[in-house]
Amino acid sequence: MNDEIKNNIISVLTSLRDMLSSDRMISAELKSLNDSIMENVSLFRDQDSISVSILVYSLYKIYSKNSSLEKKTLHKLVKSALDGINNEATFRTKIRSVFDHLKKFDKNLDTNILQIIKHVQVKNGLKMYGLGISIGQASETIGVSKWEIMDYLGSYDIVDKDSNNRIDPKTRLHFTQGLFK
Amino acid sequence: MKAIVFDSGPLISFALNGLLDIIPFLKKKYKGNFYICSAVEKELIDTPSKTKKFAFESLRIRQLIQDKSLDIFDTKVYSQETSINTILANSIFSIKGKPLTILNAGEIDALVLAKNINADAVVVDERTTRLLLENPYRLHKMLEKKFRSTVSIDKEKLKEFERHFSTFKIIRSVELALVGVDLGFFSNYLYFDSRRSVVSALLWALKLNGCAISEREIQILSKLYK
Repeated sequence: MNDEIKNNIISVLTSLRDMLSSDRMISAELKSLNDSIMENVSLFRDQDSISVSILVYSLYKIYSKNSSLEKKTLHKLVKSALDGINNEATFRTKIRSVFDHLKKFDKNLDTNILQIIKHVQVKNGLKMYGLGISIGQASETIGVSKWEIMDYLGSYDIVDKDSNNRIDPKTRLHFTQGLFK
Repeated sequence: MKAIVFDSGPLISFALNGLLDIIPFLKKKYKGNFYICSAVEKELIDTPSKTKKFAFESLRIRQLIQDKSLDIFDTKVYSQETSINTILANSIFSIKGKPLTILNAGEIDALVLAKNINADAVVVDERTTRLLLENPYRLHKMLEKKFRSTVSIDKEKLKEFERHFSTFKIIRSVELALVGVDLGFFSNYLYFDSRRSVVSALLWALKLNGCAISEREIQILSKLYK
């Protein structure tokens, strides 16, 4: 893990640890934190940033459904991951243990964590696409298929804002019609 | 022989809308080949066939290959060119000296194939590949806005990329669908509504399943049909 990636992850996990130590509602903060991580994921495309982004978004989804979920254990686990960041293997084990802890809530919360993680991956792929990364590259980085991203794409109004094509739509259509004459 | 090369995106857009039958219809009218490259075949068949949600659609695409509506072009022969151009495309933009990886090899593979077989067009539904080829400075501005950071652009590399891929045009699934409307593929739907309404519904359906077309473009194109 290079220093820039490490510093970004430290910054994200520090914010997350602080949120988990507070008594306030944190779902909106988690969403905002995830948005900022996606820029780093797009830039660095490393597995650790992706895992942390999936973790943050999974927490956002869980806390959106159940804001009273206890934070103490999660706080302890995130702090432990943060403490282990200088050793890649340790860090990854600690992050995995946070996911393992979340999976325990599956029955209690009636929430399928694995489905959430899949959903998070697709959403993060969409976010990367929103940043200007191609669908193919976003799907490769996040580890979901192009089909899954495209299936969701229309719902997120990404294209309307940024589709300033240089080529007029009538010109493109006339060219295509010409191919079939 | 005339040829059009397909990226995986437009075929996924058609598949998600139940419109794959338009491919053999258009192929007959085109009197040339519709190609997909090996990497695209993997995205269209191998990956979805392992999922419950998209496995049936992958079978339908396999059928299109079987009946020669789509031809697979083995692009191994161009693999070195694809690698070089993937590196080139992904070193045009950078943030704080770090290159921004914006396209993947599968997307470049389709462009390399189109260039080498002198294709009439490449069908690409997603925005980034198209903007890089047609309006890279707009893409540059967009990246700066989205990343909220200064994005450097290597103009020499951009020129080199443009030089490689200036021989063909980019079209989308929406333009192919409208040719389908012109040639009668959707004639059954005209019993229920006006051509304009059918066109609008069709374009929205493709947009909502991944084709990068803006609402304004849908309005402009719908108005062409009465």
